[in-house]
Amino acid sequence: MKKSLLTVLCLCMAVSVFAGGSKEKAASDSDKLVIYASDSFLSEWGPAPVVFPIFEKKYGIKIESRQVGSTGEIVNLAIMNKENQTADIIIGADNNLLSTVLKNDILVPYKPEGIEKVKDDLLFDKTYHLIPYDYSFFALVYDSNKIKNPPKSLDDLLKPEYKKSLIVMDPRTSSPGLGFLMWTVKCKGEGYKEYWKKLMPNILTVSEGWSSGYGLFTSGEAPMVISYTTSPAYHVEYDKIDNIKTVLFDDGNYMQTEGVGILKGAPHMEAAKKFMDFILSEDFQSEIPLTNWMYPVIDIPMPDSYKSAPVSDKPLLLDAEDIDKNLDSWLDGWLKSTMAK
Amino acid sequence: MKETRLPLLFLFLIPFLLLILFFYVPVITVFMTGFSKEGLVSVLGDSYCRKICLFSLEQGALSTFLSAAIGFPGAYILAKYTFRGKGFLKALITVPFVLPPIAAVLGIVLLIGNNGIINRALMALTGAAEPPLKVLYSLKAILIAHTFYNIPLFIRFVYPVWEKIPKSLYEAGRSLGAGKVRLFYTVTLPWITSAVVASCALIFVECFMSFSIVLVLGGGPQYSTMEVEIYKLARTTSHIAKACALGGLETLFALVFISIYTAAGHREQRYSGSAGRNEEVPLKSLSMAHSIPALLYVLFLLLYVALPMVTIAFNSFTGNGRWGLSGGFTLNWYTSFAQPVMYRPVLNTVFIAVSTVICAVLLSLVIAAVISRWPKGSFLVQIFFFASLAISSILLGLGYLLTISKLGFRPNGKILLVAVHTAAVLPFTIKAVSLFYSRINRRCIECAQSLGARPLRILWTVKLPMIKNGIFTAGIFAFAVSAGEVNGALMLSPEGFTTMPVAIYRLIGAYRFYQACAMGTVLLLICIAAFYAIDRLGEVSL
Repeated sequence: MKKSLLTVLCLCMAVSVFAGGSKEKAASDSDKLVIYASDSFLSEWGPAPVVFPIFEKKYGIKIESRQVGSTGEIVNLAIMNKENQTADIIIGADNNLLSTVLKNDILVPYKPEGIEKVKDDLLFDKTYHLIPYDYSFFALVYDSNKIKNPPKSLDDLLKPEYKKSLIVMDPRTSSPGLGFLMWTVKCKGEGYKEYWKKLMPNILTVSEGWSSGYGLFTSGEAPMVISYTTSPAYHVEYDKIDNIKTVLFDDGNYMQTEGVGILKGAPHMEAAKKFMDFILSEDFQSEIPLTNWMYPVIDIPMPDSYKSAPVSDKPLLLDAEDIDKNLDSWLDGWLKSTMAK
Repeated sequence: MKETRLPLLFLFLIPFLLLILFFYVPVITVFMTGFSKEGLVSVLGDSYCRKICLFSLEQGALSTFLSAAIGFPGAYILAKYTFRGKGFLKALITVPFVLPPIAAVLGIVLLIGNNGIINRALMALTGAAEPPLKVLYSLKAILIAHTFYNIPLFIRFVYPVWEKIPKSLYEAGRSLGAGKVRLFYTVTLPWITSAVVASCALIFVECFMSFSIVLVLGGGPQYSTMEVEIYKLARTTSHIAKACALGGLETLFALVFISIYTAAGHREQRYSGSAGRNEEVPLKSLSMAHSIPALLYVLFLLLYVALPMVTIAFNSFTGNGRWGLSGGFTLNWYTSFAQPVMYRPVLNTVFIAVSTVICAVLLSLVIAAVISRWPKGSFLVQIFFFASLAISSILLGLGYLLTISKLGFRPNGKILLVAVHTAAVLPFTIKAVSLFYSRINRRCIECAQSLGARPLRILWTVKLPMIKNGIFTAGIFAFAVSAGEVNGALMLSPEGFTTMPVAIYRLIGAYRFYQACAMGTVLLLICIAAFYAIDRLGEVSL
């Protein structure tokens, strides 16, 4: 008896793996939109739970989202599925990934409604494959209770008074980490290796991702961390504290613009175009500041907390093709500089 | 043996297929997509790759040695003594298993970091301006974190075996005039050697493939493991070949140790299977009078394992509008559990973990039965199931994505998740169950048969009571691994289905650090309660 029960149980389990799957497949295919997005975008505390229902209500189209991890992994997956694309939209590919996206020819260009409202220097893809939906700047974030004279430039950051005071992220595994490396490459050219060698004494630790790095900063391990100019706004908005500040560097701040695009071979092309239009609407854009903690790309009234999040007037960017060509050698150079003791 | 073999073999197909489907197919898919000779050459020719291979091995060996050395007295005390709070201690040492690395790292940092509780206390006492205790961001810190995870693992693996040494063996030894030391070398040591070797091999593999702990607490890329490099390479499609090559190399190293782990378990079963009477040595009571060192050790173990977790709990009550540990006391983060965003992950985690326990224990029973029936092939069977421990979770994740995308549709996420968790815990649960299964006293079964009991009755009244400890241990491990698992849950969960470890990651990612601590605390409490309950159940029912 017991054994036959067990057999039935296990069989049920094995069968339902497939049964459950085919049931989902049978669901109505029209009025649907399939989206690849990063975990942070789709998280309970991210933009998706707020903006997706607005879209679904407005257009009567059901969104099915697939979270894939980081944005790099999303692009990877889209490339691997190129011949048999099951999703329509990817959200989150940023300016650093642009050349990868274009080279692999996974997107179709589309010029959404309202594109004229987007500031020209934010349109990082002039071919309209990737349309920007938010942006921010990588920046030094510090605790003003502990740091009275924050560094104002990359060179200031090398001063001995900041010994073991900075937390950075590994550019191999984290996008703020990569952004900071690009920043030094942009400002120092080939001298970036020398710069990192000199910076090492001031670095407390290199964390693998933004979450653990910022977590260390939050728990008071170091008074300075690499994050975004928009980070302090969170603490003003929800923690009601103003001692977490950011500083714009004289060299400028490296910029990150996140984009959204329609996948080539998208099964629901019409719905995808509507979603692209929606991205630039006020409905979507006004939710970005307090859910994704980035700046919107169109001009809308900002929450008060964003007074603590200054916009750089010296945005830095590397050429997409340059990145594509040199990224490996930069990462290698970075690795050698940080390993040299 | 009157039982028919057919239904058993049929049942055996289920775990077999499960593993093929959820482990071998994705892994082979990745290697077929990416592996190439050029990749292998580029890995072996890279001095950085060689360097991190060496470091991975070095820190793995150090961590293993320390975990075993510090854990050994603990296994002895738990096997030989009874004392108040033993049940709690046993539950507690299982808890690190459920802690996602990011939470463990933050717990350790909050405790002994520059701004940690210990440093702040020392600074307040001595009036020093600089934190006096500087152990983090070095090799020492990596070792502390790894021993935090693995001393408990070592104890958990070794003490149940030690406990089971039959009294008759000691009596025989004593009657032949052996002293305490001689008894240790001739009875205890041979009996537990396999368990010690097996747990060391397992600890080594876990540390060898450790990722976020090494990177965050080590302080940077001078301390990096192969897993980090694979992660970096797998991020871009143009490097998949190299990632696969490095992954293959890592798997090769790990497989060597997994084989040792399997072989040790194998030998152990044969060794102890020959034992006669199964009466255990009665436990001594641990009292102040005759064992101060043992008491001190228990206290040390308690602090070592509990403090990082207590610190997380402590932080979950702070941070109300002020910054750092000095933030005021608040219950805000706990009242937020009234919202579905916070309480659903709790229910989801319990649901998935309990389902995993049921599946894993049932399947392990089947496999254990097969192994005991078919001793010649048992090594192969075990290697087949244990190999999943040797593969990088990043490559496995890549494999899932590839396989699912080739499938063209998405299977039911919850069932998929339970299946993946079951496949992941099977190595532990098979080991725990089969260890006891192989020790079932044949004579008792023959006795029951001669009295006319049918197979099911024998299973219920003879076999199950004899292996109950194995089943409970297996259940605890399955619960712990499932409740703490992050990668699979991130990748396979259906839309809107969040487990607690994933919620912890997302909360930190959304700047909600203290709320993440609260979520972590609730995860820990649930697990302590569950382990304590399972343990109690084991002692009371039979």
